[in-house]
Amino acid sequence: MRKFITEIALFVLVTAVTFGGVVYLVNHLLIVEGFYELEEEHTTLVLGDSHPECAIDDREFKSVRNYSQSGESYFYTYQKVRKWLPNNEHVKTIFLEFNAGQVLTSVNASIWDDEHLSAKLPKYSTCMDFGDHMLLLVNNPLGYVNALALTMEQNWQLRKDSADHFHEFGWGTYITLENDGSEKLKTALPFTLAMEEVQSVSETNLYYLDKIIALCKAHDVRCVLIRCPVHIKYSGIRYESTFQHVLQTRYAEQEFLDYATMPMRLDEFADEHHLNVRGSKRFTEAFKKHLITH
Amino acid sequence: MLFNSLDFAVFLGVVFGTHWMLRNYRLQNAILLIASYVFYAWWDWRFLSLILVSTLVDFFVGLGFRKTEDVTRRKWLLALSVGVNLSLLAFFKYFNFFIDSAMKIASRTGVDLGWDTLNIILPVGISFYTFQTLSYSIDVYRKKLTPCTDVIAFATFVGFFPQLVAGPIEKAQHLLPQFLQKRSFDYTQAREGMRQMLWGLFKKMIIAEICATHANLIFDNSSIYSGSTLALGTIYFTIQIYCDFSGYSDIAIGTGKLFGVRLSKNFDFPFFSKSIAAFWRRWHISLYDWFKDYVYIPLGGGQRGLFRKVLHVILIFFLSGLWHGANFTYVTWGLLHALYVVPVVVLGDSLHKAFIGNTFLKKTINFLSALGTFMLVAFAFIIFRAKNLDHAEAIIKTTFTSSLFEPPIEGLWYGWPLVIGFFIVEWFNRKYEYGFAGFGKSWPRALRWSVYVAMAVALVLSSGTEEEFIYFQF
Repeated sequence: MRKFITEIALFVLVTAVTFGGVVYLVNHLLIVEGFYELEEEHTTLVLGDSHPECAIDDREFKSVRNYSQSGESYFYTYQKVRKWLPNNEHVKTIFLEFNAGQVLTSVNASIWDDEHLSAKLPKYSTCMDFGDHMLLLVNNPLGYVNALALTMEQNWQLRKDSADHFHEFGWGTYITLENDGSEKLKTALPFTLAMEEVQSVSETNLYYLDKIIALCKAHDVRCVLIRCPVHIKYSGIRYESTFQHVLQTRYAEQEFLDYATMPMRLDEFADEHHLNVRGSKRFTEAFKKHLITH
Repeated sequence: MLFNSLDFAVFLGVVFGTHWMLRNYRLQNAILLIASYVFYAWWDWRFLSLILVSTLVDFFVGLGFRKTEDVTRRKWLLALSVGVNLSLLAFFKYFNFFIDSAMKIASRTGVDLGWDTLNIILPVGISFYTFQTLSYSIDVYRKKLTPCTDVIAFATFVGFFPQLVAGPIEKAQHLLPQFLQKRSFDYTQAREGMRQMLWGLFKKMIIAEICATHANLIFDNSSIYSGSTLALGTIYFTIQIYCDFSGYSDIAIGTGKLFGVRLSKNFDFPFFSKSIAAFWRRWHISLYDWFKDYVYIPLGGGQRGLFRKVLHVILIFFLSGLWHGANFTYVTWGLLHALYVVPVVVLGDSLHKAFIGNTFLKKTINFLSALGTFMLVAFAFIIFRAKNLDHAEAIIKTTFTSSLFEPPIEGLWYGWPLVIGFFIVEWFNRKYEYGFAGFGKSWPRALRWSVYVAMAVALVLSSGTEEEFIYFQF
């Protein structure tokens, strides 16, 4: 029996090491020269989740590129930044969305639940280090292994096709929302201070925000936290006190532009927390004015 | 809980460790029984009641046989066992089918029966464990087996988790005694069990999945494809169902070996059969043995003249088709195979036996016979796989047109080297218990382990989706 269990344990170990080696090899093979280079004219990047993704129209700028993506936590934003900054010295400023959704523990699902793993891991596994992989493996082993299989398949396909366009392939872009959310917002229930809830924060996600800020400092890149406009009936308002607490205690020294309460018309919202194309146009103008004056 | 899942790997490790920590076989049975019920409840805990009913009815029927020699009473006890088990099967599996069929037939005569179907969920494995418990009752009635007085051992025989949901259907005479005696850990058997499980997983997760990708695409969009594409899709499905089902059987048998339990062989390289009759002695062996022992032979088998023999053969294949599911496609599939087998029954196998031998001509004839048998089997699987008979008819009609000679759609050849490699391995191991049994036996250990590790890594990488085994739906 002892011999059998020893053999099984050895087999599992050898398989795990071989598997790790195969993953490393395929990821490593994907990297070609120029892989992480951005266009020279893009000196300002906008990063974050769906809020800036719909809010800032980078087509209005020559020097700004919006690489935000829906459902993106700081864990994945960091993977982009860690590769872009060392390879793109022309990048001087990063505007990074900072809202309650990125602060609370609910954001952990965006890091390691099955849906986000299978969508994000194939894109960012080449950027991640051992610690990042272990974080995902420990928190969702089955989801991680499943996503790794998808990653291998996609990486192999990209390598066969033209891997050097990978950084343009789904790493975020501005999207336009055409729908008018005014009818829905008129009937939605408002949130008041009386409905405030205290929730615990995601130390994991904030750890990666800290890493983004530190990386920007190390590369002499200005990192500005920004909060895009949301409607007063947005449910995230329930957690405003938690958000403010984190902001005041951890990021008091950090530059922060708060446009959350910027006056917007009802028909400029697609829903409670996303601007539609009309709202995006007005907010982009305001953002442009800020860039000019600062 | 699927065999090809992380949950099952953890579950198996826990059960294995706990089982072998105990020396007393009664305690080992108790662990296996608890594990089996946990395994079954993982699918749907409500269906535990059904397996409990089936188990307890047949256990007490067995005790009843022990207490009486009166022929009439024994017949009534047997009728009770058969009635309860077949009623469970009939209700959960065939109720809606019979209602629908009756209403269709009635509507053709202008009668509206107005019956309602029920929202019935098919319990996983019911077709397998009801047949297994019936084999016990019938064998005890025939006095081929002593009634079991150990309820835990009996319940473990009925619900043994490796073969609970998709077989092999074990005869009581073969499996039950193994739970009534001491079992000791056997390193060689356990190691062989792991190899067989690895092979079964490889067949299911790699070979069957490659074939399923193509087969599903083609069958689900059959109206837009040419005859050649449909023919390839049919071949892919035939290989898929073989690798899926025999893969499951290998995993079940290998898992049994880990616990010192020997389950019956269920597949004997059926695609190398040189006749349809030989095919049915090698495909889903446990089901056909069951029908032979408990239906064909009691009806008289081939002992009551050629006409009755042919009738019995048709009945067996009809029941086999029906056993697979409540759909006319399965029944038609079964009857088509009856049509294949009847000529062999009438004419005998002697025509083919004349060509057995080692000359080049005989080998060529053997190869062509095997190819022809495969084609007949694959053709029948069109009906098995189709959504309904109309769908099957449309596929068959399109397949046998001039478009059969057009090039098939691109991308269908992906995976063929692996499929061919798989059959080569099976061919060279056809004298062994399973397709991987003789593989690498004379190789250095490092080389053998390299192959095992490569297979395991391929399995981990293909674990992106947990696909169910095809035969779970039966």
